[in-house]
Amino acid sequence: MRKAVVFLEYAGKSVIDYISAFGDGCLFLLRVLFSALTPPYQLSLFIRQMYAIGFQSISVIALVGGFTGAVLAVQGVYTLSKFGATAYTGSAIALSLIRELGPVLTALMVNGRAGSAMTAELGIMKISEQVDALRAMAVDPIHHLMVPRILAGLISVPLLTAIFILVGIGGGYAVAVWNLGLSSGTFLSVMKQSVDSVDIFSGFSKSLVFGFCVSWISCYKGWTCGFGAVGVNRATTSAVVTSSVVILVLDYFLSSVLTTVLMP
Amino acid sequence: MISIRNVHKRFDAQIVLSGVSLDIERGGTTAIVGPSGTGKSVLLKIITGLLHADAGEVRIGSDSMTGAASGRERRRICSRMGVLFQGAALFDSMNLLDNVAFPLRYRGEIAENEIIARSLDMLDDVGLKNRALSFPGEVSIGMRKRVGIARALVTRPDVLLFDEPNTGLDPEMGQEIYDLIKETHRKYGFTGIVVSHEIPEVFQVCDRVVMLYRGEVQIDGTVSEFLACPKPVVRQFIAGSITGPIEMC
Repeated sequence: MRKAVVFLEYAGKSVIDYISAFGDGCLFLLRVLFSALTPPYQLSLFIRQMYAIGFQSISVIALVGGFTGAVLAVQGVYTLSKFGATAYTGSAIALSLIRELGPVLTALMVNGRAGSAMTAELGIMKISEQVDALRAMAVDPIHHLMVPRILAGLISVPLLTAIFILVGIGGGYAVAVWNLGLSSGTFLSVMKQSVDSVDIFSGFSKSLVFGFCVSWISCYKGWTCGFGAVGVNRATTSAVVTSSVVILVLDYFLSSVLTTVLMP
Repeated sequence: MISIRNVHKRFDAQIVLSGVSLDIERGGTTAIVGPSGTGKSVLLKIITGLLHADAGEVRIGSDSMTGAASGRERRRICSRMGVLFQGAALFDSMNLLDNVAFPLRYRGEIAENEIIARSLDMLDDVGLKNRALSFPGEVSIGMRKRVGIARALVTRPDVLLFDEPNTGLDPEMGQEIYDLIKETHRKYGFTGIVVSHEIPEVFQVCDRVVMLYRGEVQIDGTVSEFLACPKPVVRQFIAGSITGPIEMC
């Protein structure tokens, strides 16, 4: 009985803590949104973040995209050959990448590469009084640090997703056509027939939501970072884990909703 | 110039400031001293608007920092002040010149060539013009503090606050910082507040001493009044003794 009470207490406290943190995160987001609408608009800071989050992620995104497409080709040809449907390999690769793997894997890669860096940088700025220094210089740290990062994350992830998908299809094409002997014409024409604007819209919507979530969570965790190296460590780990879980959970719900709403 | 009236601050159950009242005259330099954990840095953060007081009022000239209705109003008052933080708090991603130029660039009131010229002049004042393109990670903590002073002064603030300016420095470098505070005070005529627990070293830069203990002002007077104060708490602090009414944190 005693153990059950302790467990219930622990579970209750955890739930309250999660709800409280979510509410705090929402208030933080409201401040960011309000601040984003307030001048001055600092384009140079936004461009710097686009470079850090977007441009510097291109090579790793392209690499992962290319090999993901290649693996899809190998597995696709193997699976579809059992049904005598290898001609549909191009379609399977493109739809998988556009609707699912492109947005999800890009968001996870950006989360691991740029999201963690964002949290660590903001956390270190906080514990070394750089955030206080901004305030003391009459600079709003939300406006100066958070707005450019969240906007850059929001815009970078869909663009990186497009690169991931294009390189992925290229990788899939290379393996399927040059290595596994599929017809180039069949690969491309079947792919063209099966991919609809609805699929592209679905993938783009997901990547927009994921980009927003990754940058929001990363910035919030950096903003609320605890003291010392341990605080930065915990904040960074928490940001990466929370963002990854949110991406995968949201992916299911977005897939369900978008499929229901957009499918005729 | 700065008026602090009946300021209270607590963190959970811990009372940090309990009815602190002070008046700091324009152009002078006041040292706020006291043992560690007595609320000196908290008071400094309340003066700069980085922390909110639970009760009481802080006025910078005619502006009420504690009564500022909005963040924008508070930032306007902040723009009249400069702060040197304990660790200098330079931005790691910028070189020393960009660090000093940062507040001017953010305000956007003067042309870029003038910003560069004024920032280089400030770096020259602190003896670091030749390291303008170095990054904070490439220079010593003493140099970072000097750049911190240059950055705090570049906007020509009315008030300059120093939070433990000698923390982490050896005695020689610490003396260099005190010399720099004296020199810049003479040149720019700001109203200075120096938070420190280092006595008698801090006396060379101040004309007034306020001692805090348990969140209350123990004495507020000139250096000689402070040194002659008969209160046991003050006597123990001056003597640096471990026996007496001061509880060690």
